[in-house]
Amino acid sequence: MLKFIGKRIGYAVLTLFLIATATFFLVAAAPGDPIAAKVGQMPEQAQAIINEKYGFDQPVTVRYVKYMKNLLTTGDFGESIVYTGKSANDIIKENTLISAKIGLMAIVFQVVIGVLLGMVSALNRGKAVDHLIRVLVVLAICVPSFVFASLLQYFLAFKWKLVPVFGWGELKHYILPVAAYAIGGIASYTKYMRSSTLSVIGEDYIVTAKAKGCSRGRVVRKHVLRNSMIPIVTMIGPALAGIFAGSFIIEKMFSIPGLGFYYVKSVSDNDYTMVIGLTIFFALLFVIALIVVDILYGIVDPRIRVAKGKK
Amino acid sequence: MKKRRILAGIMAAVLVAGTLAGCGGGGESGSGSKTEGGSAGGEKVFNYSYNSVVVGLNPILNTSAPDNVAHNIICDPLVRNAKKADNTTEIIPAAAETWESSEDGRTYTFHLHENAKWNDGEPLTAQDFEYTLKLMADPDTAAVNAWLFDGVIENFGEALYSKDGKTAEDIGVKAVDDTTLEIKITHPASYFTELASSVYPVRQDKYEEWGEAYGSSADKIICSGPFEVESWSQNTEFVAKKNENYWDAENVKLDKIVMKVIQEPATAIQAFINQEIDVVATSDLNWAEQIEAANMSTTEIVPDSAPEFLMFNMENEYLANTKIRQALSAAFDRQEFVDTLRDGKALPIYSVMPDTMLIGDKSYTELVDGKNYFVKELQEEVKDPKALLEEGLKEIGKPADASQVTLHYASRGTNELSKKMAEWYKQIWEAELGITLEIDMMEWNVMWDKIDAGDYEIAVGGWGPYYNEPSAILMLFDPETGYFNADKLGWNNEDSKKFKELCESATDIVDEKEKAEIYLQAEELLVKNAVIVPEYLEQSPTFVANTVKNYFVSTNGMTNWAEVDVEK
Repeated sequence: MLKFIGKRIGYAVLTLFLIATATFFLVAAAPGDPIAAKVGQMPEQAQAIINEKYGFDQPVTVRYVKYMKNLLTTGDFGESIVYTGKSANDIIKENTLISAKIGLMAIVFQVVIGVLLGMVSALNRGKAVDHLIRVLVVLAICVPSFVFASLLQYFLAFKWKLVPVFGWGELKHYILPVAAYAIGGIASYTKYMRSSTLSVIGEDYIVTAKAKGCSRGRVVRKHVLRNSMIPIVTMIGPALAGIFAGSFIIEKMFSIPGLGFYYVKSVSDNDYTMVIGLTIFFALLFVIALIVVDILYGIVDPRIRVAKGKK
Repeated sequence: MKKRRILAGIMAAVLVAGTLAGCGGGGESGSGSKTEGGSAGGEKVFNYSYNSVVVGLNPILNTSAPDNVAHNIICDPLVRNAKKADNTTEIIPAAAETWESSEDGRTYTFHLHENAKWNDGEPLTAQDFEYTLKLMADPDTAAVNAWLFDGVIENFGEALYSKDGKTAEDIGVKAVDDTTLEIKITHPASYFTELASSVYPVRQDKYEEWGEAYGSSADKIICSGPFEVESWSQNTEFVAKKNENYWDAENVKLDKIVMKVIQEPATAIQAFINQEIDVVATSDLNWAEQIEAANMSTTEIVPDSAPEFLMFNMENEYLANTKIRQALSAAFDRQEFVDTLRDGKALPIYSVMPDTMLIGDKSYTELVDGKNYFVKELQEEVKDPKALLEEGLKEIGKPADASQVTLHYASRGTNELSKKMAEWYKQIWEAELGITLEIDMMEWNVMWDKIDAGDYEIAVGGWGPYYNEPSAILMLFDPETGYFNADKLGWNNEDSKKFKELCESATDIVDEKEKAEIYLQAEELLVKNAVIVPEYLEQSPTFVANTVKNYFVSTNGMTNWAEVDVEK
C-alpha cells in the first residue's frame, strides 16, 4: 500500500511539472502582449522598468528557468501584472475558501439528498414515487446549473423577494448559489444510489438477513444502505476536485467573491502570472483529490486493494 | 409494516438533520467572520455597483474605470468636473478654493482651502500637489496617465521622456506657500483646469513608506476626498464612509457609499428593481421596460464623449487612396447603423468631435456653424460611392473593378456586438460597393497588438478624451507623437504633415473663433479625407432610484459625490 501511494505521488509531481511547463509556454505563445495595456503611452524608460520587473526583457526560456526556480524554492507564483502589489498567492489565499465553501456545502446536500431520494426511489420501485423521482432526475441532469441559477434568482429573489438577488457574507446569501449548484449533483447521486440499491437488494445476504427475521428497517439501515453507498463514496473524490470549476458561473451570477472572477479575467487580461499560478493551483488540487480517491477505493473496498496490490 | 417504514423515515431524517446541522454550523461560522455591514438605522447609504473590481487605489498607477470611480470618491483633486444641465461640464472648486490664470494664459495659480485636510488630520497642502505632479513626471514612476501633461505643463514632457537633461525637479510646478500652487504651462490652454481635475494627490511620507503597496489595501491608503475608505474586499465590495476631516464635511450628505462588484448585467438589474442597489445602466430593451414598469426610478440619458470610429491602415495599397477610403465612409448610413446594431440607443456622429466639445466656454460645433459634420458633407457630395471607389482604383493604376478588391476587417473583441458589427459592414460594403470584406474575429487585446504592429487593414477604434477640447482628440492622430501615430495608421503623406502643422499652430492662439477654424481645417483632413470614419457615441440610459437625489454623471464619467443624497 505504501509503495502504491508513493508511486501515485511520484506521478502526481510529474503531472504537475508538465502542467506548469505547458501552461508557461502556452501563455507565453498566446497572442496579446501582457503589459501592452499597462504601459500604453509611457516613456521608453518606464516601459523598460516594467519589462524588467516581469522579466520580459529576457527570452522565454530564461524566464521559464527563473520562474520554475523561484516557484520550487519559494512556492511563489509571482506578482500579478494587473493587480500590482499582490502576488497570485495572495489572491488564491484570499479567495479560495469562498469558492470551496459553496462547493463543499453543495456536495453535502447532493450526497445527503441524493442518497435519500435514491433509496426511496429504489425501495418503491415501480410505484408513483419512483416514477416521479426518475422524471425529476432526468430533468435536473439535462438542465445546466446556470439555468437553475437564473430561475432561482428570478423567482425566489426577484419576484418573491425571499432572499437577496446577489451578495455575500450572510447565511441568506448561501441559499441560492448552493441550491443552484447542488441540483444537478442531487440528480446524479439519486440515479446512482437508485441503481446501486436495486442491485444490493437482490444480493443473497439481504435475503439471508430477511430470512433471519430482521425487521425491514434494520435490513435497510444495516445492510442495504452501507453496501449501496460504496459507489457513492468513490464519486465524492472527483466531485471534491471539481468544486472550483463548477462554481465559476454561479459565482458570476450571484456576485460571489471567489476565484472564478480572477481566473476568467486574468486570461483575457493576459495576466500571465495569475493564469499560470491559478492553473498550477487547480491542477494541484485535482491531483491531490485523485490520489485521495485512489486511497479511498482501497479502504472502502478491499477487493480493489488486493487487485492493485498484485499489480 | 407501515410502522417500520415510518421508523426508517425518521432514521433517515435524523441522519440528514445531523449532516445539515454540521453543514449549517460551517456556514454560519464562515459568514460570522465576514458580516459587519448591516446598515444601522438612519444611516444614509448609497449602494452602487460596477461590473469589475477596483484594482488598486493608487491614483498614479491604477487607472481602470472602477479605479477612477474610487479615486473620485476618496480623493480631492484641485478642481472638480461637474455636470451642467446641457451635458457640458463645469469646473467647480475642490481642494482649490479659487484659481486664476495670468494675462498670457500661461500661468495658473491655485489657492487651496485653508482647512483642507487628509483623513488623518494632516493639512492637505500645495506641496502635496507639487510632489504628486513631480512624481508623475519621473519616468521611473511609470505613471499611467503622465503623458497627458506632456506639452502642457512646462518641461513636463522633457522630464518624462528624459530630453534636454531635464528632470522632474525642473517641471513648471511650484508650491509658493502651503496654500498656493503655481503651475506654468507651455501655451494658453483653456482646458487646463479640466486636466487639473484628474490630478488626485498622494502624500510623500506615505508614498515613500508604502512604496509599491500604496493603495493596494484598505489600510495602505490615505484619503483627501469627501469620503475615506472604510473597508475594501477586492471582489466583493468597496466601502467608503464620510471623511470627517474633509474641508467641506458638513455639506457631505451621505454617510456611506458601498460599491459592489456585479458582473452579470441581469443580476444588477434585478437587484436594482428590488432596491438592493440605487443606480444601474443598461441598453437591454427588455430589462429597460421592466425597470420602467417598476416605476421606481428616473432615467438619465447622457451621451458619452468617446467617439467610436473605424480606422484604416494606409500602408495598404487600396486604403492609401483617399477616394477609396471616402467611398467606404460614404457608403453607410449612421442612423441605420445605430438602429440596427444598438437598438437606437446610441447617437450617430458625423464629426469625430462630440457636440460637447468646448473651446473656452463656447461650443466648437457652434463656433464653426456645424461645418464640422464632414461625413454629412461627404455623403451629400458623393451620390455614388461605388463610382468614387472605381475612380480611386484607376488612380492607383488598378482596373476599375470593385469585385477584385478584398479588404480585411479586424473585429474589436468577439462579443455579440463585435460580431454583428463585422457582419453588418460586410453586408453593406459588399452590397453598396461590390468589394469583398473578409472578417478576422479576434480578442480585443490581440487587435491592439495588431494595430501596434500595423498588421491590419480596417479596425475599430474609440477614445474617451481626457478633456472636452478638440485638441484632446486631434492630438491622438499626430503622426509622430499621437496614440494613433503613423506607425499604426500609416498616415504619412502631405495631409498628415499639414495636419501636424495645423495642430501646432493652434496651440498659441487665444481667440476662440480663430482656434476653432484651425481645428476645423485639421478635422477636415482627418474626417473628410476619411483617415478615420466616425460612427457613433455610446448613449445607454442610466436608471436612478427615486430615493436618490443629485446623482449626476458628467460626460467624462465624473460624479460630485459630496452632493449625492438618498432619502429612505
